[in-house]
Amino acid sequence: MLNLEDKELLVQFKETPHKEKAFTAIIKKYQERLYWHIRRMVVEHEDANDVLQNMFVKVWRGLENFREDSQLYTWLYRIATNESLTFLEQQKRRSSVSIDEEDTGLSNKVKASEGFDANKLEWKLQLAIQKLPAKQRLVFNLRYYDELPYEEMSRILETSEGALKASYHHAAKKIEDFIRNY
Amino acid sequence: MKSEYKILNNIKTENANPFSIPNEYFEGLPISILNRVKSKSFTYSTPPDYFENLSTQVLKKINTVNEHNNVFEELEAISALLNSLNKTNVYTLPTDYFETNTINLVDRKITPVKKINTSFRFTKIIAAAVVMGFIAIGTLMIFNKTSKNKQFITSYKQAIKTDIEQSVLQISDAELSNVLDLEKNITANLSDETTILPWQNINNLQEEIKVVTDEEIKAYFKENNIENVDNISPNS
Repeated sequence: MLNLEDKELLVQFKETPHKEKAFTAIIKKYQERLYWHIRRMVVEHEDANDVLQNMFVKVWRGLENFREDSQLYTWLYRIATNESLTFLEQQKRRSSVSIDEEDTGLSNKVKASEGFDANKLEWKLQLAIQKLPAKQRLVFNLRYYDELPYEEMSRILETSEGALKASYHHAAKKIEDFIRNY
Repeated sequence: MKSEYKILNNIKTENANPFSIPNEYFEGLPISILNRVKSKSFTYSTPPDYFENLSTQVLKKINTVNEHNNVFEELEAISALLNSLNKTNVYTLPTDYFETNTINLVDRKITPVKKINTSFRFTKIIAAAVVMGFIAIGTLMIFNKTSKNKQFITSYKQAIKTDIEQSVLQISDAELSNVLDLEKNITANLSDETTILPWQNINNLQEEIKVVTDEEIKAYFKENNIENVDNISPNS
């Protein structure tokens, strides 16, 4: 199932002299997509950078045991997703905020972002996304921004396609309501 | 038929090839071909496995476009407003982040994972097992000892209790009545002054002692035949 380019990179990664070169190529190939996937979840650049680096360190340690029955990027997305959720969970525990307050923290981070303009629809959209529960936010981001097919999303999030479609539908409706009433 | 054959034969002999070619065309042809081959190989090149991967790339593009259309159509049905929004990133990130980030990541992942020697690990397991053994034996011994002590104390208390109970049972009612009467008499004969000296009485006594002279004390000792009277200091 692995595409040829990734297959070649994995072969190189398993050969000691080319290990680092292959790993660098994998990072270069997927870093932007994964960065934005993480950034949309954690909002701040520093946090996104930490999560991205941690996830690639885990990739380095686990890549040799990667079973080639799925796409490399599906596997990478899954690690990035888990790392993002773990980070948000840790942050929630550290600041001991309730579930209701969690979105407020992320919304405040959006409002503190460089160039934030509450009147612009793009920023309203970001605020609306942060109001969603973490898993619904993931579903929305993967479909809306990354335009991933439900089949891929199902592999990444280990959820049925039907549940993902319903979740995306709810998320989009909630976001629209938020934007209209903000 | 014969006439046609004659005409063709004449053409063949008169002008074998009606087409003309440049002068020394065939002399220069090999060089010309070689130059073209060389120049072609330098100007146009394809990445390795380009043609092998071409179909995959094209299919990928088709799928991406299809998926993009699917996402658009799906969202159009749910929320046309969201579909009208610009999907560009509103968040900023440091300049050249992705260029420098790759280097950081490679540096970071090189940080060696501490590998433990197998024999060292085995020694550690044995050491841990020995310590655990000692702790287990010690706990058992203490537990046994504590149990024995507890048993001893319990039986000792039981023995004393039994002994006292038996002694009390052996005392007759008359004896008990005598003891109680005796206690009553003692309490009645005890005056407040003899039993308890209030603090003000002690103070009075000290005041009285100060009034008594040395001569009076010496005379008191002589009367009572107490020796070495001279050695007694007045303040002692």
